[in-house]
Amino acid sequence: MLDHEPSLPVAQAKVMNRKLSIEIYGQLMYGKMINRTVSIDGGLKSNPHFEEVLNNFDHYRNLYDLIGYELVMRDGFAFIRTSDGTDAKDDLARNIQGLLLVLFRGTLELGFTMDVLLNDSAGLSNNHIEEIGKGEDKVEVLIACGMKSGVLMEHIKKLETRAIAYRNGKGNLVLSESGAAFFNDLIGEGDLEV
Amino acid sequence: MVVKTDVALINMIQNKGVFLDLIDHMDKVGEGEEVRIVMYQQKLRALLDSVAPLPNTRVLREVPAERRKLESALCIENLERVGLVIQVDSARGVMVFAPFVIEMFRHFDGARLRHLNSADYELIRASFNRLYEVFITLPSLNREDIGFQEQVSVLRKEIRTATAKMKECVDALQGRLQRLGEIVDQMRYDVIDEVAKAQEALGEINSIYLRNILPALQFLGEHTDLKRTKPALTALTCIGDQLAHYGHDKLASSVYYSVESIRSYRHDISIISGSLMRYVQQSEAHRRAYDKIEQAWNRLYEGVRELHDGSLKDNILPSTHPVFARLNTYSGLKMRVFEAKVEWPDANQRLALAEHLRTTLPNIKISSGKIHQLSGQTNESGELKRRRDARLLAIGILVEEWEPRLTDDAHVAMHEHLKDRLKGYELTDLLMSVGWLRKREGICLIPRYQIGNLATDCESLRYYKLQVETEHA
Repeated sequence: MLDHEPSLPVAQAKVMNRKLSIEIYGQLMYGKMINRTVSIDGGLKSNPHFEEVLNNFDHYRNLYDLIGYELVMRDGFAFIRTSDGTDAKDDLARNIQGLLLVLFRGTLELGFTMDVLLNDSAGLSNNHIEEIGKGEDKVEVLIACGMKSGVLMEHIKKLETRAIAYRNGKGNLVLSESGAAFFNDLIGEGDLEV
Repeated sequence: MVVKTDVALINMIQNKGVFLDLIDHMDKVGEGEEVRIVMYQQKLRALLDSVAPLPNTRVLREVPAERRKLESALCIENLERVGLVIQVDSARGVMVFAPFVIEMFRHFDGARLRHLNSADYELIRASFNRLYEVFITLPSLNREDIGFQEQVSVLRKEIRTATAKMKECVDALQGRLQRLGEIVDQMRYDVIDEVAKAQEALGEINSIYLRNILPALQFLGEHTDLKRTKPALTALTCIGDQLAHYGHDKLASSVYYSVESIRSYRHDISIISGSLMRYVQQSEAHRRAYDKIEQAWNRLYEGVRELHDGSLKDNILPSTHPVFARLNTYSGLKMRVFEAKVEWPDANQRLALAEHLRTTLPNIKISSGKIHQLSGQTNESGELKRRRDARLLAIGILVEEWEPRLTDDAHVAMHEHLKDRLKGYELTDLLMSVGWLRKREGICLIPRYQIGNLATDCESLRYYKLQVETEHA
């Protein structure tokens, strides 16, 4: 820790869980989101990693700050972003956001409401995802957003790998808190900022 | 065959499903009381087939009696003959049931009762206002006056009608909303048909809220500011006041009770409105989500289409494109590759040498080989280099011996230290010594941006001054 940083109280450092901390490091370095809930055996459970970050957020923030990352905590999820925002990093954000927008638009076109993607008991089946991916406009957008193949089904796995979406008990695709945040940002877009 | 009214009615009631469906359709398409003849005949045929299907051989005699009886009772010609259908317009293909028939079926199911809309409320309000005008302009409010008696009779009738309609409306709203609410609440989000039904139900709830609930609340409001006229309940209260003023206390009391009775429906309507709000907000949230996603998609797709300029290159939207300016949920998200974020210090030759010696020295074995003296001419250049290296080493040792202290001029300090200790000292040696000093651990040389001068008997040196700082300082 740098000299000018205020040292953390010993009591706070004591409650940090070493095992969880190592696992969190592994997930964050792998570019994964840490969501409030996690799907285990087809049911949603509270995520111990998220609780750990939430309870010791100041400490973790300093920790990741020292090694060049910004630990971001939003409503229901946490992730790290590189402090020196370079184009390469934003290309990644573009890919994911473009992919999600394709998914959202396709879902509405099929006649569903967004609840199907936001509700753990529902979810979008592989058949529906394939149906969405057949749209020519969807393929064009995927390619323009940097996804070479333009096959939606292949790229959906990226969302699962990064914990932006998960498969529920029925095997359907559901957005996690971090995926839902993009939807909420879209809904809040254009509102007056207080 | 003519079938009497009562028998026909009993048959209709026994098969009320057909007529309730017709009422639903009427309410849905909003064509008033008209029913399409084709639709009625289709439903009747389906009913007859379910009651007694036709045999395969189509001979009149073989038609089941039960089917013939039902068909005779419910066929359009018979219903028109006995007055249960009041109009058949073959040119337009529609027919109209007698109003009491429709009302009767509506009463079988609260959800199908007619809701009052703003036009109905306006009629009630206008009638109360008209009666108020009549009561304040009547020349005499005497009990024996026939004109007064007639107006009182009309007043009672209007109040009864208004109360009955309000009750019917509240029952209808409660029943209808319960049915629609069940459709929405029991919807499975991942079944398209159910989602479509729920969307339809939400649309209807929204329409009921705007067309029935809000006008009802407005009708029951007593402080609404209306041009030239009064709100319905205010008009009724004024009539009561007028009657009380002329000594008709009992009559006035009954009017006041009626006002309270109608006013009590405000509570019911408010409760319905409250429970409705959840669905209205849900519908609003769906609409908003749809709009926002559509906007974002259109912006993105427009950006994509602009890339299709035939150049067949650069068909990828840059992340700096304005389309993505507002989408920054994941900006800066980490790549899934290992990044060496820790910045290691620059290579330090001294440390590298120390590390090299630490690892290699223990492995060096002292050779037992013979030492041979090379004969012949001495190598002058080698000898010169050896001497220079020896002098350089001697300067290094002297610099190591120098006791570090804070001083403003490293050159002067080294000059003072070396001039008496180093044999044949020259100012060139001073430059070497400063070089050694720079590498010495625990000492830091900081430029002072001043020029200094040093001179011996035969040499002179101009140099930039360096301040000596130790790490302990």
